[in-house]
Amino acid sequence: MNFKNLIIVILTFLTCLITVFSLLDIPEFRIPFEEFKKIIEETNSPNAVTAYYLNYRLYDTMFEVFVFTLSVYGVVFFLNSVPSLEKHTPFSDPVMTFYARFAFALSILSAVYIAIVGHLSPGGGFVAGIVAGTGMMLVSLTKTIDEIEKSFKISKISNYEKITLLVVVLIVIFPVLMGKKSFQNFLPLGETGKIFSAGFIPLFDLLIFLKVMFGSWSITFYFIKHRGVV
Amino acid sequence: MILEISLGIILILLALLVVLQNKPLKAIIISGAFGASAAITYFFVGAPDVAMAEASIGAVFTTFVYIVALKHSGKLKIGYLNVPGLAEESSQGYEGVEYEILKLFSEDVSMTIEMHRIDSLDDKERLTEFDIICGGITEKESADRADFISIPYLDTNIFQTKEGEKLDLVRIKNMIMSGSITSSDIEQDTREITKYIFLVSKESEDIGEALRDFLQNIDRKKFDDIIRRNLG
Amino acid sequence: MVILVCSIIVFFIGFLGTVFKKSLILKMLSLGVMNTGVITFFVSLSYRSGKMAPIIDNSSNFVENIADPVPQAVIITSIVIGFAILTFSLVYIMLLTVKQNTMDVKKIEEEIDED
Repeated sequence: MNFKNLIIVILTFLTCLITVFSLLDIPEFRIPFEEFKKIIEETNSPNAVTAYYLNYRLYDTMFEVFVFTLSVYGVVFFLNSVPSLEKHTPFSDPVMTFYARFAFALSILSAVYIAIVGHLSPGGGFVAGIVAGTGMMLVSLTKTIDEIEKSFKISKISNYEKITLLVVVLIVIFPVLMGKKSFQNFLPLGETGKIFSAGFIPLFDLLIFLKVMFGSWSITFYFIKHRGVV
Repeated sequence: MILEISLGIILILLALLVVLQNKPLKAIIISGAFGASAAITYFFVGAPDVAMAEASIGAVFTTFVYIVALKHSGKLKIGYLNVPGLAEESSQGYEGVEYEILKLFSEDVSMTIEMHRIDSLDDKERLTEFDIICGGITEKESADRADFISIPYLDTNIFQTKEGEKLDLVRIKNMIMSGSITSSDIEQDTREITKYIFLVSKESEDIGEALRDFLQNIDRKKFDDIIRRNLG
Repeated sequence: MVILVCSIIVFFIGFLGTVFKKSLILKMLSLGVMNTGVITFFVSLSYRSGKMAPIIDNSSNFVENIADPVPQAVIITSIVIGFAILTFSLVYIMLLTVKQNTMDVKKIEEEIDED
């Protein structure tokens, strides 16, 4: 064992210990219901978490989407330097193929639902994108690499991915043209509890859903293309 | 309160299990279970949004990505002398005792094997390319090879033919089967006891250690089965 | 409260794995454990003010014990980003292991020093 490692471990252990002891007398607090109600009324989104990360903290979330995009491009870039697999044998069992495609349809359906009601119930764009990506992964296991590549090319995923990012930026700076501040909710708030309400929160949920779905499908596709499955 | 304590204990135990594993595949599967239990915990502490994100990512997608990345994490270059029964190329791919043992070993350390045929052990320049060399090499033959570690795995005998050539058991058997010599050509009293070995390059010492560990802990039943199938 | 302490222990376990494991892929898994520890820490910070999910509907006039939405909103984006970064580093590990033919960190560092 390395002496330097040992010192680092002991120091981290002490820091963790101090953190635990300082947490023991952490004061309890209650969020007053009126405060909470004010957030909901201001953003018109019953889910306060979504209200925070898509309205108050939108600046932060936008850059998180940037980071996601960059790391997907990094994956694609690095995997392109690996020679692609000559043969890829998909699952040929008809029962398995059928259920994988059935689960794909189900997962896309539920993903769209989770995305558009993100401001009313738990969920939101990030989760919906990953759910749809899992469905894409399942159906990719049952197709040959040429078929996947064909659908990848026909659907022009990589173009839409770039456009999505551009649309996010445009929506964010659009209020400046109307004489308001950027990152401001410029769409009408509507009636609480309806799908078309809460201004641009559903719009952003949908955009992030598309972004994460395309991103995770790109990751899956390039992994399967260059590495194969199991 | 009891719910919190039990959820916390499950989290700590699964985290310990992930960290204590030495086999990557087991660790990946347990980390999927860890992600799922974390999702349950978040659900019970009033964060259903975070729970959904963690359940879909931590338990499903990460496991897939890890398993695909783990596959062929490295290449094992193997040079082999063509000896039927030990290592040979046939129409269905490769077969033989040594090939099957190395195949099991490569699955154990999650590497893929790459077989290269060599004709003799004399070309020292060429031999240094490989990580492992196999194909009926006996302990006696390898006495002077300084660049390699020898790892024995099976007992055998060396016989001397009437022409003064020293040959091991499997080669003699193959020659008798093909009819090029008969059993009367072998001098019975010159039997020497020795072992078949793998030669592992000194540069890839860690592979040698892993192979030695693997051969010590191998399932005897499986090992005997491989030998019975290939050598009879 | 209990989960708050547990999350720090989970974090420390992941840290130990990151320091002492030799294989790169096991190191990455330990980093994932550390990441989960941090997420659990944030979520249980929000749990201090109550365990009802911070989602209310129109009809509810008064709800007690609502969890704090701010730490949850901070950490929910980091889960997805953490996954993307993890995939990226896994690809890099793949390339490194194909080139150096080992997963041992010490061996890789030695070979890089030699070049």
